[in-house]
Parts: sequence; structure tokens; C-alpha cells
Amino acid sequence: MNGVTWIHFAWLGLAIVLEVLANVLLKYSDGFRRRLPGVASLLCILAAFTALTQAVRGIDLSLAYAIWGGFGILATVALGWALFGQRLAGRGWLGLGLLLVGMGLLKLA
Amino acid sequence: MRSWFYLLAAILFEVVGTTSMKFAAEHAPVLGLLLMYSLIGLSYYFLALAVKRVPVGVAYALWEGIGIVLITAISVTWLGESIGLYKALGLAVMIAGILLIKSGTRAAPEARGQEVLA
Repeated sequence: MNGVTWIHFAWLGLAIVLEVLANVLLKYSDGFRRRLPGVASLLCILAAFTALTQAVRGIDLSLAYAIWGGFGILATVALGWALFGQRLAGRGWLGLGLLLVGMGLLKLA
Repeated sequence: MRSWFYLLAAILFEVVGTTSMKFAAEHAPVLGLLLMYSLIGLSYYFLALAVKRVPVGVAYALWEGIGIVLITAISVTWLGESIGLYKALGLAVMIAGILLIKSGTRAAPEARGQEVLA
């Protein structure tokens, strides 16, 4: 983990913003029936992975990927609720909590 | 039901794409990146089909969660990554969470009729 600087975490932050944007656009694309949001979503996720590739030059891949995934999941669930009224059932929230705890545990190893 | 198969396809493309990412960064920047872009693009195409009926947050949580479980399994099985108590526990907790999310979610009911017609 030598040579980790703020710039790597800036790339990671950018990757998170781009992935969440990609997910919202994906929903608007209606299964690629609407081309513009569909193509925009693809460009966003490719840009997100590009940013992630820059981040893992300094941050360990599994750690970077877990941070990226964890924040991306939370933000996507929140926006799915806010924009599309998609609420999780009680069991879904419990499962989501377990998923994030498990991802954290995986990083302690 | 078909939405879940779209989601599964999206996850499989993601796993191969993500595994190629470290390779892309280290060994073959141009070819590795092109491969990664194609696979992630394919993955998101199938994810687009899945989120028509599966809530987007659920689809993404499963995409990410199952992806990490599979990537870790690949690393441990083929890439010689060690697995300790915490890692095994983390995987077990993640799998329990994934099963709970899946069992607590139904694809949109109005879409069901379309699936029968399609």
C-alpha cells in the first residue's frame, strides 16, 4: 500500500459517482428501448471502471472494489427509492445489511 | 423469471471483466482495457434488461454482491489467494444477505403478464 495518495481516493470517489449515475440512466433506458439514456449509461459505467483502474494503481484492488461496491449499492438503493418508489421489503433491508457487513468482514481478512 | 436470468448473465460478464481489470492495469494496458470495456458493456446491457422488472437497487446489490463472492471464489480456487476465518465468515454472511434480498423481492407484477405474452 505504498504510494497511496489522495489522488487515488479522488479517482475512487469519481468512480462511485459515475456508477450511480450509470445505474439511474440504466433504469431510464427501459431495457435499452430508449437509446440515449442507454448509451449514456454505458459511457458512465465505462468511465467509472476507467476511474477505478486509476484508483487501484494506489489502493489494493479488493479494498477499492469493496468501497466502490458498498457505496454504490447504498446510493443506488436510495435513488431507486427516491426516483422510482422502489422500496425494499423488511427482509430485503436485513439482507442488504448482511451483504454490507459481509463485504466489510471480507476486507478484515 | 427471465429478468433473473438477465441479471445472472450481467453478473457473469462482470466477473470476467473485473478479473481482467488488474491484468489490464499491470500487463497489457490497451488490449486489457478493450477487453474490460467490452465485457462491462455487455454486462450493463443485460443489467438494463433486468432492471426493467427487478428494482434497480436490488439488481445492483445482487450484481455487486454475487460478483464479489464469485471473484473471491475464483481467487481462492485458482489464483492461490489464502482464505482465513474472517474471509470465510464474510463470504457466508454475504451469501446469507444475497439469499434474503432475493427471497424478499419480486419482479414487477405488471411485467409478469408481458413476460407471458413475450
